Amino acid sequence: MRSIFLKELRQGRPLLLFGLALGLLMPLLYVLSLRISRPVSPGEVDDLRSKLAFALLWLPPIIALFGGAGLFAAEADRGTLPLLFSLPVSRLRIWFAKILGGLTLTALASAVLLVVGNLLLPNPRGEPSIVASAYLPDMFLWTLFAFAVAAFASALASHTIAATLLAFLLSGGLAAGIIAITQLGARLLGYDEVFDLAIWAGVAALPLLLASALVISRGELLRSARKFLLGIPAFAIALALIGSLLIGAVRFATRYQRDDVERVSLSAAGQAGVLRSPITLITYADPAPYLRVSHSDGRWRRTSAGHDPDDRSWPAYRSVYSVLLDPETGRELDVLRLPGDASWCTTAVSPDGGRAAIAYRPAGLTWGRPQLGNQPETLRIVELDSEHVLYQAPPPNLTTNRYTAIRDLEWSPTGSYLAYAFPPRVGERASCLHIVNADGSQPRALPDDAADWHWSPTEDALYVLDRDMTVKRFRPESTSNETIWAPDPDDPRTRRTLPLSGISPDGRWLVLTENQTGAVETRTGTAVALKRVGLRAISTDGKHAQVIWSAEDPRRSDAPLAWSADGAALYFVVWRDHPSRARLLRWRPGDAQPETIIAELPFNSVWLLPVPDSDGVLVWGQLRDEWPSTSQVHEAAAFILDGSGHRKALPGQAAAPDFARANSPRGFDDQGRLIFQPADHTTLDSLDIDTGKVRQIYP
Amino acid sequence: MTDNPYAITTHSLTKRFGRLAALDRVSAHVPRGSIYGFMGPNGAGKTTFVHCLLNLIDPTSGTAAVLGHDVVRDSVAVRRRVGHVAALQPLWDWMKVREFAGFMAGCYPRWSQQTVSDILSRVGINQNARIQTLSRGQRALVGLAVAIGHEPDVLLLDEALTGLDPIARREVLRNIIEAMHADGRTVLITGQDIADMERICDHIGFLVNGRLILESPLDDLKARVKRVRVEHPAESPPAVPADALQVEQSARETLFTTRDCSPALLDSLDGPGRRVGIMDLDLENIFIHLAQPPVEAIR
Amino acid sequence: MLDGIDPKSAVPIYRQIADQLRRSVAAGLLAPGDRLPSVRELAGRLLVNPNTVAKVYRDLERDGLLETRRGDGTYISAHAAAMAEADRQRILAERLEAVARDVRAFGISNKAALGLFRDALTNRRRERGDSR
Repeated sequence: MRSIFLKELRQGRPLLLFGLALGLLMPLLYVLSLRISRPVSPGEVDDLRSKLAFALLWLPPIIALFGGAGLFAAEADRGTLPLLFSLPVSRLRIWFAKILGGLTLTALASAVLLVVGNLLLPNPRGEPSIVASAYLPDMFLWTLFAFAVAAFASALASHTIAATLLAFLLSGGLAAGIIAITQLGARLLGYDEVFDLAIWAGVAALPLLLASALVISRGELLRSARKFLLGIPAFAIALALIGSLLIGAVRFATRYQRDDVERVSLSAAGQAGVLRSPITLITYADPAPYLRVSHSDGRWRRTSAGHDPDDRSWPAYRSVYSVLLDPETGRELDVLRLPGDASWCTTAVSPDGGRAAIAYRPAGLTWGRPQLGNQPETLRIVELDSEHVLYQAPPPNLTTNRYTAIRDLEWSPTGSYLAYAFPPRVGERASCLHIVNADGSQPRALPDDAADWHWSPTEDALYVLDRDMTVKRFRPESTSNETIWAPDPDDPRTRRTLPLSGISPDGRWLVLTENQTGAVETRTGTAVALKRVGLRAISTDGKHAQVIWSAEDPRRSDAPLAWSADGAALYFVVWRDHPSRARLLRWRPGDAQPETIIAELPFNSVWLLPVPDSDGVLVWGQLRDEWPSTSQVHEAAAFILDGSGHRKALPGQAAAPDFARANSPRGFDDQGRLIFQPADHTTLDSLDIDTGKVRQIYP
Repeated sequence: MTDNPYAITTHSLTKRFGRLAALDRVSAHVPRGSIYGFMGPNGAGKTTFVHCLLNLIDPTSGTAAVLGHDVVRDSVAVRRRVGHVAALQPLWDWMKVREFAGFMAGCYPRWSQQTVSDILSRVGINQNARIQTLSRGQRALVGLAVAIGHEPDVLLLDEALTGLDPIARREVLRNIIEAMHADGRTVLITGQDIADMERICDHIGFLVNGRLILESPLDDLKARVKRVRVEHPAESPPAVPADALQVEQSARETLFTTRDCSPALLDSLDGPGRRVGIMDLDLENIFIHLAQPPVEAIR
Repeated sequence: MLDGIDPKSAVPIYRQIADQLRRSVAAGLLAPGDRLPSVRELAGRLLVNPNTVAKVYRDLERDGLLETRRGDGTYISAHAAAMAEADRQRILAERLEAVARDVRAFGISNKAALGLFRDALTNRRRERGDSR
């Protein structure tokens, strides 16, 4: 066998010359381009050089195509196959010796190519022209792929020229096929990108080589057409097997494992207000960010995507899961794999805890960037006990809008309906409201654009603020609506935008915030810098409308407000002149004016959460470096304010000042436990308000 | 294995290409130490037979064994002990003769560089010459030298004399004969050069349309296959035996070829007014007469 | 000594070689003690199967015409001369058998045949000069 290997090396010497020639090609192109295009700045020159140096990396696969095409077809061409096969060496060894010889020659020729090409490309700054060693693995895999394709083609064809042509065609076709498979796999597995294309190319090399070995060892002197019947199915089967193994391995390695949680965040619906427990919704990410290469300042850099700045080894894959969790038992009720970042998922649990609605974007045709794909958003309704999927579809009325997300999923109070907002076009702030029955039937869109909306807490009625700032009430069973309140055309205040900010727990009062500017700030729309100028309360029977508070000058518009659980009082924060000073006010229906409860809260980030089954509200404030990023917290405090305005500290270890500084609240479950998270979002914990017992729910 | 009298045995060896049977239930027996001539017209299946022995192709059915090794299961062992020369076999033109010999030496367990050099020097082939510069006859000798150089126990010569000039042909024959000096070495030679085969073969096999119609030692063959001529009166033609071939009958003369000429046969044909004579047939005519029509058409 | 072999003849090749050897000894072309070429050499020279040559040597050795000296080769044996006479007569007898067959086949009378033979002998004597 060694004899054959050495013969292959001697026979293939012309390939080295070919590599040399190609290596001279790039510098030649460089010189020619300089003459033709005459770039002016050193940046342009450098850019040209970088491009050519990068292009060098894609020449070894070409060499491999030629190196592999001649392996067997050349012998058939020359007629020396009977001579070769008459040797006392098994066909498989002959094949192996030839493959090894071909690979060695390809490697040598590629080395010649790269060394010569790089030496000759002018390099004023003295930097290595071989870019991104990050791309060398890609190049290696593609070269291996090209070689394997050529070897396979060589086993099938009887003439060198035919083999070379077939090799080029096959590699192009296979590359296209691999791209298609990658997309398909992405869809099936829910990844943005199943594998790097290069890895798939490398994976395909193995079945190609196996198929060529099969054709050589079983085929009869390579003359009959039977070899196609052997080779092509062999390749297909081997690729399917290896591909399945690889997918299986990746699936196994990236399977949902509670212990691998790196980051926990509550879905949007779970963050505001009282959580509808006993179920909490969380997501987590697999600690394996992508390795990517970026080009900036004329240099190639390796960067990693995702939250972790540490470099991870290549390749690496990321999984994001949406998990429905029972905080009591810790049991996962539903696990959904999501693409990209956790932010593209919105969830809501029905009031009785029987169902969950999840809005997400399935794996789209993106390439590793945690962004939007161009697949439409999907809404899924899951029955939690049986984990049976009741409904899974894009929203109806989906026209040209493929880039926006479903927001603000909310169940009706009886749990019979699910409503959500979905902007019809990118950038539209007004949304189309959609309703679907709890069992997934009758998805429909409401006719009017809704600027803001709420379910009534007591009955299945929707309060909608439309574009004309009119408040209407919808009942899902009928198509009609009633107008509750319309702004007075003469009142200058009402020319401002008035989002609905809160509805009282007894369903009797709506609160509109008045903001200055022409844009509408709603729960559903995108945020624009707005200034809050007032609060207005409207009774849902339409009989009363009152300005609760108005500011002399506009304030930060994102001040929290919350009704107490018994519906007796509305608490809200007003920012003082200084951005890190807040004032807490309280308004009871019937009062002409709100009352200041706390004159000064020295925080720039405040949560107000009504404590269930009481008249109190949890106040949690933090003073940060910048707002709203996750930066250091300097001062913090958390306490419960009861109906008479007295402060009560949190029990147990939560009373310590560090507790408020290190954590942030998420809401109460209906057992009266406070759900909170540490600053790094690695866990989800609960605090029993009565006993002070702290428990880690997740992971 | 060593007490098997045959170097090559095939048992009902069949090879089909599509519907065409290139070999049809061939059961051949090549005795050890013999020079066995495998004759047959073009396309009769001789090359297919050799390819089967070397396992270049797989038989459709039947078995074959060379020196006790099954040609399919132990094909590598077979090829280790078998030398193969094929007509006009392309070699690696870019190699020098020396390189080619060195390459072959590395592939076989036994090698005698002396043998190779002797064969080549006797015809003046320079071992440093590139193969592409050699003439057809010189290439044939290089191929033969290398095939003999690894001291094979069996030499398969597939039309090895075809297309050679007389001098090259003589050299090839001489080398084959000299290669037979070691005990037990067997040669299987296929071709259509009946004259040469007649000289050196001691066994003959006839392959026609894939069927082995005859296999016999040459001397036996010549002794038994004769053309019989009976001169007789017009009224009493002799009874021609049922297995007679190439029967020609005219009014007073009957000619036929018999595969088994014996005194008993001659006596049975003799009679009043008759004269019986036998004519010897050379190998070519034996072949033509035994290969039933349309042998002429095949040519 | 050894002429070309006629492969086409009905006479087996080994017989032809053996006969030629005997004739050479009978005619005095090969004398006792003369060394014969090795099997290989002779086969190579005549372009015939070495087995055939080996068989010839074996048969002639069995008949006493040849002797093999170990490691030394094959030689015409000492008895050869004595056998020569017997051989000569045997060879002639064989030849005459063939002639006799022809005489019968052509339907020539014994008397005419004998006359032809006598003429042939006379012609040979004239060519050679003295009789042997």
